[in-house]
Amino acid sequence: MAHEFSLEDLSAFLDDELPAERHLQVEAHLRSCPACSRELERFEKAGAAFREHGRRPLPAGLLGRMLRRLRPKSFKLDPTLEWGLILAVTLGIVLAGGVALKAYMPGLFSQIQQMISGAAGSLGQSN
Amino acid sequence: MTPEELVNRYSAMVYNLALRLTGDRADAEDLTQEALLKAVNGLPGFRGDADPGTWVYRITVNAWKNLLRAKAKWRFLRFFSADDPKAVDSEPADCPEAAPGPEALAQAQDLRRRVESALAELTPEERAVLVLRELDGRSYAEIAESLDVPLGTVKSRLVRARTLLAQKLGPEDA
Ligand SMILES: [Zn+2]
Repeated sequence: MAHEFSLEDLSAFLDDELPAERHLQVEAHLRSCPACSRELERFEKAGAAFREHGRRPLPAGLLGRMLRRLRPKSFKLDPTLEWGLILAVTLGIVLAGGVALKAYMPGLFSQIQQMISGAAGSLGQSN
Repeated sequence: MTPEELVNRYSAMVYNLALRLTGDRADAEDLTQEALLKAVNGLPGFRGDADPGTWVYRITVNAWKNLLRAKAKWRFLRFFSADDPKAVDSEPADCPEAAPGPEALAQAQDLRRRVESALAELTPEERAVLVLRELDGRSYAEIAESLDVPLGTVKSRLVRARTLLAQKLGPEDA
């Protein structure tokens, strides 16, 4: 290029990567040189086209796959432990319910008690 | 930074970098996963004052170099076996996005094709510089560090990439 600046200078000018003094020199030159201005514009358009048409989205599922691989294993309960926990919680609720029933509604409690012993008795008879 | 933050923040850029380095979608997916997993494993030793992006891109580029070496070895072995090696570097598959008007769509597709044909003539390293500069706005110094090359190399690769893109986009090529 028969000008004071190389294409590298123009490209670096576009990216604001020239030393301050050089930047000002290029800027002044561009004002009076249509050829270099055109070159700069071509570079600008090339960058813009790549930004708009060169970017690709992450393939579906890739991010999720990577995040799943990160999840610490200690956070995931062992299945037997998980079932044990569910059983313990259920038993706890039933026991607490029974205790509460006896304390606050003794009539209903004894009724249920009789029903259960009655059912157990009929079971015993049929055997 | 937590591993989740790292993956969420950098996966899209790492994928674009990997795609332009490998030129192949499947390889880019593998490389993205490998690089980010390596980064996550190295997170405890990462200096907080350094730029995580530059560090992650560097890991990606190194993983790509290892992949190339492994592939070269594989090709060397395949040389002695019966079937001839199949080209691994196909152009990235095009996935058309949301459709505007047919005319705008045709124009966008034309631009996209031109961009891809310019990229096809560039080296992976030239494409990598373009990705880090144009898609992530990285400084020349950061790009030089990511790719482990001198600053002058960053400048010259960028000029070649832009010149080729401009050529393909220019009216003389229409
Ligand atoms: Zn000029």
